[in-house]
Parts: sequence; structure tokens; C-alpha cells
Amino acid sequence: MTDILKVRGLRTHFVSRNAVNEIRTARALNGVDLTLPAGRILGVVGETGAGKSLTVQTILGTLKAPAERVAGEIELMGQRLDTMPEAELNRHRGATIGLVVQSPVTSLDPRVRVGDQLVRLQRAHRDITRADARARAIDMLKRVGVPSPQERMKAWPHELSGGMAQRVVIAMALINDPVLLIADEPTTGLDVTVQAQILDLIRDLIAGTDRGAIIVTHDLGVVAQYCEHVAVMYSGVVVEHGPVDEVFVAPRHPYTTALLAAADLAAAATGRRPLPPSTPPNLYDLPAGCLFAPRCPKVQAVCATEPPAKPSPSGQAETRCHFA
Amino acid sequence: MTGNSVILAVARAILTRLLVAIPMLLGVILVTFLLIRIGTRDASLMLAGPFADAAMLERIRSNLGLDRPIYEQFFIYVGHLAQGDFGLSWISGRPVIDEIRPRLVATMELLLPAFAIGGFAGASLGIASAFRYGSRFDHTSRFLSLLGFSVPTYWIGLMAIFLFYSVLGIAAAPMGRIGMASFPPPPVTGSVLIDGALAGDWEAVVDALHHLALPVTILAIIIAAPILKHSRIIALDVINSDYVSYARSCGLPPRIIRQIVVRNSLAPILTLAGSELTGTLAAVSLLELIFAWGGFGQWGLNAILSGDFAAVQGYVAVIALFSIAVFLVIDLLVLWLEPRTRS
Repeated sequence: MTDILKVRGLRTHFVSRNAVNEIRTARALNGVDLTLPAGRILGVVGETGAGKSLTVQTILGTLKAPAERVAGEIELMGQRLDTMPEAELNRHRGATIGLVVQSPVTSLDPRVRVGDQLVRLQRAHRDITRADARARAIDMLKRVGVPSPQERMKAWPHELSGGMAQRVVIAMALINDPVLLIADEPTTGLDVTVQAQILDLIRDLIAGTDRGAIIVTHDLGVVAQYCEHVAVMYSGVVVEHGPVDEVFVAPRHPYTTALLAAADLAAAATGRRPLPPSTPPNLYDLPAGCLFAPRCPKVQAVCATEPPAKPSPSGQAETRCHFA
Repeated sequence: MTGNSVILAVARAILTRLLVAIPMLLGVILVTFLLIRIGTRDASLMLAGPFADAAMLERIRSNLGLDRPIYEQFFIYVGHLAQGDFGLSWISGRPVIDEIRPRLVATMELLLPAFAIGGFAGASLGIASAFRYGSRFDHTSRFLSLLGFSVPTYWIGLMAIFLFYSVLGIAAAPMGRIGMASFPPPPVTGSVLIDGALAGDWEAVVDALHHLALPVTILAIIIAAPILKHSRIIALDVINSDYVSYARSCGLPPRIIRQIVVRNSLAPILTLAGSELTGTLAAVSLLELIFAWGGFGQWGLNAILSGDFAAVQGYVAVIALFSIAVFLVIDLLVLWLEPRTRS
């Protein structure tokens, strides 16, 4: 089975100056490794600030200053994106890579009708007549479950409900037949029914094809139900990466264990906390050893000094822990 | 939206804004009316001079209606205003409206081209700066905008006259709208430029342009400065918006990204430019004075200095009317540009 996307050692830093003009570096991504096989959905989970969305932006090459990728390789279908000239990379965005954004309502151009945005996106990437692009757009809106798509083509973005805007954004992401679909929190703010419809839709589009999808979420339930693979992120590192049925059933990294325990409603009802109340490390001043060491319930002396070895890329679950 | 409903929406927009404009206008008139009545001496004393006797004062007061209660005076004034009667100037004795009309045309001849040039230049530079945020271009245009903001109008005016008229000798003499030795074309609109063109008197047109060049340029700079500053901020907001980030993530080419930014910045910039335009009508006085333009602002300034309160009231009322008209036009433009305001 071929891999759609391979990401190795991605590091993204925010370089800024403080009030006394000293250079400060926030190390937001500290060596992210991801692998996405064809026909699969990869769930990327982790708490807020773990670097999930930043990983997506780094892959797309759409980081805004002061964020900057300082190391790492990104390979899409065997093509290196990290060394690709910007103009060429821009032809992949929205075409071979489709993006579903977190905030669909504010992400659509407020001054252009829905249909015209779908047409504009197609004509930016391929040689297609306006009429053909319109026909494809109507067809795609129908496929993503937009009722009376012909009418919706004329709608303004502000006239759409949250769920409808989300569907339109998914239609935008799919309209140019992407190989890789990246959905960054695609169901935030949607009710459970709409959420299920949208995730079912993504699964139907990916399963059994040579495409792949990445779903960024902090909903472990979504991952368990819709993804074959999962990457658990903590402080800009993928601490555990592998098949969902392996990682969720027998987690090897203490952070994964804690994360799963935190999602355990029965345990939560009894007031038991999986981790002592604390926060992820300061990105300006990361610990020398394992980034999770300051919070880890199983911490040992070596954890404070030695970062865990980079896991060898293999098909099975990988973890970054000295004691896994 | 179908053609019919667009017309309906526009008609409704005009109507509601006009309805709102009436109390606004009444409020402005009431405040100036009261300020003048309460804050100044008895008008009859001023008009009659130091040697008038009590009987004469009484006569003036009853002639002007000053012996009636103040609310009655106000209603009489508003009633006359509604018929286009602004009263008589206390100084010249001529109808205020006849004094205003030709001067307003002279001012518009200055203001409208300056606004067109300054507004376009300011908005273009502001948006271009936003695209080059933090670059040398951005810093330069911000510095220029700050300069235009902080240097007083009369100072720029005097320095420009000194340099371009006295030293270089390329500008026209700052003595009005047309050369001393030239004959103005037969008045139709009151604008030397347009009347000259209508009469086919190209010499007059060139002469008028020559006289317009310097004050229009200065006024354009003064108008451009705040528009530059604000359109830069507006465009920066748009550039950092979710929809522009998303458009970039969709690989839309730079040309389309620019188009998205300009289109989405236009409505707020226009709204801002509207208040700039109305504010400039009041601020243009000093520039007119320096160039002996004989315009509306200069006339208003004189009216204030000489205590011609009928004229001052007319001056304020015209500025208020102008503001309301400008905002109506801007609102309609925004309605056309901004789909969210339509439904």
C-alpha cells in the first residue's frame, strides 16, 4: 500500500523579539512525524496548543510570519513539498490538497456568491469553461448533501447556516478531486447529527479509493469511530502514532493513557483525574529531556535529561517514550 | 435577488435614510439656533450700533421677530428654511441663500476633484502598504500619512505658495479662481471650469485649471493622509481575515487574492471617506482664505468673525445638508458593494 503523505521531523518556530529586543523562539513543532496510507483516514488528536493546526499549516506551506518551518520533510505522493517553489506549491493547494477549515462561516468570501466561489476555485486550478464548472459545482453540492443545490449556488455566505457552510467548504475542498483531504476540526460547533453526516461523507469519499484524509480533532470519539490511524500530539511532538485499534486499546505512551482516561466519562463522574492539574511546557523554554516528563506519572531520572529516541518508521504503532 | 426587489431595496434604503435625516437636520438647526441665541449678545444691539436709542432698538427687535418667544422664533425659522429661505444676511442685507450658492460652487470646484484624487491616492497607497506590511514602502507611506496629518493646512498652503509661486513662479497667483486680467466666461453653473468649457472659452478653462492646481493638490494631500492611514488598517484586517487565509490555502493565484482584499476593503473605506469629505467641507476655510478663493468656507469663516448669525446658521445648515447627502450616497454605494447589508 502506498503512502499518500509522509512527514518527517517537522519543526516550526515562532521567532520574535521581546520588549528589550532579545530574540525569543517559541518552539511550537518539535519534530512531527506522520504517515498516511492510501484509502485511510488519519486522526490527529491532542490538547489545545499541541500544534495540530500548526502542523496542517506547515504541510500546506501557509505559515504566516513570525511562524517559520525550520526543519522537516513533507512528501505528497513521492513529491517533496518542502523544497517545492511557492508558485508550484500553490497549484497543489486547493487542487491535490483539499482543506476543510475550522470556521467555515468566516472562511467563505463574504462578497462572492457560493456558486461563484466554487467556480472560481476550479478555474484557478484547471482549464474548464464557466458552464462546466457550474455543472460540476452543482453536482458536488448535491454530493455533500446540500438540499436544492441549484438555488444554493446563488446564496451569499452569510445566508448559510453553520452546517450548510461546513458542507460548502467540504464541497470546495473536494471540487478539484484532491488526493489528500485535510479537515481541521471539521465539526466544531456543529450538533451531533450534522457532525455524523459530515464525517460519514468524508469516510465514504476516502474508503476504498487511492485518496487519504487527515482529520484534526480533539474529539477522541470521532477518531475511534471514523479513523483507521491516529497520531497523538503533545507539545509539538507526535508521542504515539499507529492503528486506532492498537493505540486506543493498548496505549503505550503515558500521555495517550492519560488522554484516554480523561475522555472516560465514568471516571470523570467520580472526580478522578488522570493527570495532576498542570499545563504543557512553556514553548520558549522547553525541558531538555522528554517534553512530557514534567507531567508524567511514570517519570524517571533519564526522562529529565534524554529526549526519547525517534521511533523507527514502521507499519505498527510507534511511540516516543523511554519506557514504552 | 431579482431586478425588481433590488429597486425596492434601494427605494426603501433611500426612504428610511431620508426619514432619519429629518430629525437629524432639525437637531443640528436647533443646536446652532440655541447656541447663537443663548451664547451671544442681543442681535439688535449689534445691528443698531452704539448710538441707537431705545425706540430704534425696539423697532429692530420687532422687525426681526426678536420680541417673540424663542420657540416661536425657531418655528418661524424652520418654516422658512423648509421653503428654501435662509433669511437675510445681517451684514449685507441680501438673502443668505444667494450668498451661499455661488460660493458653494466655487468650493465644490476645489473639494470634489481634491477628494477624487486624494481619496483614490490614499486608498491605493493604504491598500498597497497593507500588502507590503513592515516593508520600507509601508514605513514610507505611513510616515507621509503622519506628515499629512500633523502639518497644519495653512502652513502647507503658505509654503506651497512661497515655493511654487514666489520662488519657482510656476503656480498661478493665489488671488482667486481666475487671473486678474482674464474675463470669466458667462456664468451658467458658476464653475469657471465648466462654464468655460460650455462657452468654448478654452483660455478660461486653462486659466481655471492653473488656478486650481495648487489648492487642489494641497487639499488632496490633506484628504489622502487619513484615508491612507485608515485604509491601510482596514486592508490589513482583511488580509488577516479567515477568508483570505482560506483563499490562500485554496491556492487561489495572487491576482485573485488582491481582488478579494480590494473588494472587501472598499465598503469600509468608502464609509470612512464619506466622513472625511464632510469634515473637509468645514475645514477648507483656511485654505480658501489663503488662496482668496471666495468660497463657501471662507464666507462661513467671515460670517462667524463678523457675527452675521443668519449667515452662520445658513452655513451650518448647508454643511449638515451636505453631510446627509454624502452619507446617503455612500450608504447606497455600500448597499451595492456589500451583500450582507441587502437582506
